[in-house]
Amino acid sequence: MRDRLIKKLADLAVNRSKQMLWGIAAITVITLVLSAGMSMTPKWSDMLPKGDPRTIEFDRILEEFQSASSIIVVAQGNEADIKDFADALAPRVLEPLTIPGNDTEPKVYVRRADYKADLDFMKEHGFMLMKADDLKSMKAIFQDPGLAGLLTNMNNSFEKEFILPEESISSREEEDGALVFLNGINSWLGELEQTLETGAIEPAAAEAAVDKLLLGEPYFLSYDRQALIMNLVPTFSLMDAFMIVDGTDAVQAVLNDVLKEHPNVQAGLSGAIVVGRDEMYYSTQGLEISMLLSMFAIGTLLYLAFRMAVAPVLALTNLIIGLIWAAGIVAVVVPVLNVMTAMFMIILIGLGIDFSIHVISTFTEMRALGLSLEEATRVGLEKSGKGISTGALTTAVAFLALMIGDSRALSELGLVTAIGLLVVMISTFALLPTFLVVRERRLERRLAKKGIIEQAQPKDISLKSLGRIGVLFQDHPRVTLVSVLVITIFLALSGKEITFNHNMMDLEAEGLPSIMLQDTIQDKFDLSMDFAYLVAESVEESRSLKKLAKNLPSVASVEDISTFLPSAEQQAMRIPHILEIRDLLSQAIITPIKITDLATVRQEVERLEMNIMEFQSLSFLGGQDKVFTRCTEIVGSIEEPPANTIFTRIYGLLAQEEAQLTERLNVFQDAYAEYFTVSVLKMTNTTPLTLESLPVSIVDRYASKDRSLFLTTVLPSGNIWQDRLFLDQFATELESVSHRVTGMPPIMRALFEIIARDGRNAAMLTIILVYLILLIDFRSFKFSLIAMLPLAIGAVWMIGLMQVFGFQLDMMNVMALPLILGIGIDDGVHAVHRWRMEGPRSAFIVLSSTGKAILLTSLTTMLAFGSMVFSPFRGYASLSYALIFGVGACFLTTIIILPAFMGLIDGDKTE
Amino acid sequence: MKVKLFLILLFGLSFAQAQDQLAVKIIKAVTELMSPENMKSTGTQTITTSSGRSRTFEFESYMGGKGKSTLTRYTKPAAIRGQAFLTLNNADDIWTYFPRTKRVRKLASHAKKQKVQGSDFTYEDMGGGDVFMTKFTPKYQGDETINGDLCWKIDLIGILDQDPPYPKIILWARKSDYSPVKLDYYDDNNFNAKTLSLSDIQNIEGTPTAMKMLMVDHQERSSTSMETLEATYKWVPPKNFFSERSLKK
Repeated sequence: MRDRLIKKLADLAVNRSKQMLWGIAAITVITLVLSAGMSMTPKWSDMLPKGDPRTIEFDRILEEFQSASSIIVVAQGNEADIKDFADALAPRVLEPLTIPGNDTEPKVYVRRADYKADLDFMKEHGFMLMKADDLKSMKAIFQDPGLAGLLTNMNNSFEKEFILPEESISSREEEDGALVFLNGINSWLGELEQTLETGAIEPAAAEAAVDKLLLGEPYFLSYDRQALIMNLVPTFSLMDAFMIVDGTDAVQAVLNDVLKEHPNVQAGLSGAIVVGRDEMYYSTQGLEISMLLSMFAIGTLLYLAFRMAVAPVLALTNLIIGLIWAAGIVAVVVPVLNVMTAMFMIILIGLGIDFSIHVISTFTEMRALGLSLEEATRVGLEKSGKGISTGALTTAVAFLALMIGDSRALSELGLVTAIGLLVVMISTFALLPTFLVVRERRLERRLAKKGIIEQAQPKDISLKSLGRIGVLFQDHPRVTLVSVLVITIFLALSGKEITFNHNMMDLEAEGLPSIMLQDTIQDKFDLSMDFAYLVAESVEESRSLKKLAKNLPSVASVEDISTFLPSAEQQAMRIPHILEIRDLLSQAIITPIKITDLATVRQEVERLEMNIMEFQSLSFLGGQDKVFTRCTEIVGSIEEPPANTIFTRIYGLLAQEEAQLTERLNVFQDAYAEYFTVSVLKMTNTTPLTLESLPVSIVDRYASKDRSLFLTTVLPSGNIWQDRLFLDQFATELESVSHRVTGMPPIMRALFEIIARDGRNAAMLTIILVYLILLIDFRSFKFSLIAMLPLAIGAVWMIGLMQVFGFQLDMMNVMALPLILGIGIDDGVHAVHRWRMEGPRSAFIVLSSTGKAILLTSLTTMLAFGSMVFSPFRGYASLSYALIFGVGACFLTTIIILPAFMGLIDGDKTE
Repeated sequence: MKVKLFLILLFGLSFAQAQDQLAVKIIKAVTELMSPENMKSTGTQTITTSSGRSRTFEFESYMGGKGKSTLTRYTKPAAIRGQAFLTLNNADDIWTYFPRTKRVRKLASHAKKQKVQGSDFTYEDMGGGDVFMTKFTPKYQGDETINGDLCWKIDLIGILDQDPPYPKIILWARKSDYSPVKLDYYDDNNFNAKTLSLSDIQNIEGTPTAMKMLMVDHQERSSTSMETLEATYKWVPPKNFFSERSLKK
């Protein structure tokens, strides 16, 4: 049947060339239209199995929670400058925005810009959000807002805290709390210093210092206060592939405009949406460049190999049309490509060009033998068609075997590549003979016009040197095979040592601003962007999930709505302490500072310095670096006596003439004390907190659109990419809290496991299926096995060579293993076909003719994959290197092992 | 038949009792070894966090009353030179001294269950004393070889009403000199939370002394190594040595 079909196609090419060309044009237009419907998703979760609970949950979170899809602005510079920048940028991003270079109507892309804490809410309910124990230990502070009293009570409280130094700063949350306290004191002392120096204080400055003391810094600043984060909640989610590109570009344009007005600030975008957009942009841009590069390189190679300018033109035209057909059909079967499936075109270029090479190669060979155009077309197609169809079928089956697994990364890649390959094969059988016939006839007509009657004689383009190498191995089969065995053992042992790089960041484009800013966020804010999510169906469930997750060793911190919505029981426990604070403060009388109070003020300032010094020593021993650094900024280095700290400056100012000092201290006390009293009294509001009473900005952050679901975000305590064991620990521990945990860490852990499992199973199935196809094709166990041997040994060489050249396996290049089983089998199939056709001891003709085609196809495949080396997306480059090693190894093993077997098996027959 | 069964049961019971007695004997010997009457030493402590960052301190340490009282004073780096910790009554009372402010602070009693200054040891781990004898029931689990040394393997099961620091500890002690070489600490979920390895055991003044100790926290993925540079058991604490006054010296 296959022979009949091939003969029919050859006849059509010769006798119905015009109709064939019209038919091809029609199919090309239709498929071109269909291919326009293809899109790409940047989500790694889309590579997990379709029904995977982590994917379902992740998609649900993206759909339900506005906060899960965010654009993060990271601004760096001086504290005042970055605050000004944020204040200027926030209203601008909320306006309708235009996309640069696009004439479409301006659109609102950002729903909300969060870069400050909701101070109004905190001022109203601050105490209701504090733990009962903290309220209990701190309430004494509020019994006297006067300067001497406040300092004394603050010191008493500080020393009380000191009793539990480890407990007080043992966790990330508590360390942050200690920093807020230190920052507040520093800011308040700063205003004291200013007043003692000038005798005056701006009411707004005094109020800001009190706010900082009571509520902390409103802006989302880094620990060194040199960076600021702004969280933009977009009007779209990560699910909208097109919007993430437009939205990010529009926000980036506004950011660039605002940056021009703030030259001292550096700022960029990061977050899931921006990283997704960059991944899509750089991976597709990389693929486009790769495709162009590979086509150019392949064209040049074909020109050099066939020594005819038209060969690359015909082959590439045929390939491009084949790719259009494939894209159109794939767009119908799998309309949304993921990071893996997006590269199917490159694979098709590498493999599809091989069909053209085989067809052109045999056609020119037949013409060189003096066959007529019709005969050369028919015989050429018959000779190459068998190998091409068997090769394509085995490769397609190998790709289809990838569908055995659950992961969409492998199964969709297998499906689209198999379909694409078969489509390109069909297009080659239909197109290329037609092109060759049309071209030859035009040539004949042109020659006839010029009065040249003789037929154009194509040159002999076989590669005799390769044939001679084949003869060498054929004549020394045992030495050859033992040598191969030794090399294989060496490379197998090397391959066993190869390690796996789990760091997904090493697959991203190098220098990608969004990824680099993630590192900045990690360094400056000690905040990992690779968090996990838990979804609760009630605030109570969210609270309980938070409690469980917080106790896990691998967890740094947990954020959920319960931070702002304590349980009724917790609120009830807090109320008596809050009321006590209210009573204490209501009874407090602020008396003017007298000269007799100066000694107390001086003593308490010294005591405060000592408390911070002791805090500094303990944080040094305990390794709480951030607290230690902040303490050092306030009280100076431990090793040297303090020279110029806020305390030494205040001591100097406290030494001024007593009447003036008393007056200035009273100015300071008058400026802050009343506002302090009013603020604290406002915070003693004991109205129970409910979901309805929370500000929308807070609820939106943690609750779904219909307020029926609540998001808990869990931050890991370590780097999930640099330590696979930690990734496992983090994911496993969270799975013990809820089986519905999702987010990057659990998804990637699952992806590693599923791809490894699916890849292994697919490889085993591929080997069995390919052997069965070969068995049907060759009808011989022996020849089927021999055809597979170069592939099996080539695969071992591939891993061994990767290890020898210092490569690691990773999430992308591990795909090369099942892929090479499909790709590498062709070499052996073509060579064994030709061997059986040419008869015993035919190494010379097999290698000089088919061997040349195999060399060419291997080189073109390597060039196609090699072009991905230049892709900015390092994952593609990594896969590219692995496939180059694999294809190269399979070529070498084919031209070495098969002639040796010819010598071994056919030896007696000739002798 | 009944007599036979009774004899078998009796033999089994006697055997189990003998095993328990052996375990008690071993733990008593281990406790005596770990809690010498007095000890004075100098050493280094290196804390390595999960991120791979490490910091090293040098200290001098004094122990009295079979581990009931300890005084540790840091000597290096300069940033904490002179800072000292005093534990009394098996770490029920803990004081710390800050040389920069020349003040002494008392830590809460339950601080003994917390980590010592970011290390992987708790005050209780460091406290010594007769904790193994009073708060655990020892069970002999057979013999095992650890780092080439034939050891007894003993399960220490926490006695609930004695507030044991861990629900379970597995201890391996060398048969040759009762010197412990490894301890696995288990948490409430029966997870091996920490492992203490003791090595470079030298005979100092007739007492086998582990010159190197490594505590690995398997959950936090951090470790703390302590190396003894010099040690003597002949040191006798002057009267009222374990006091606030000594802490300030």
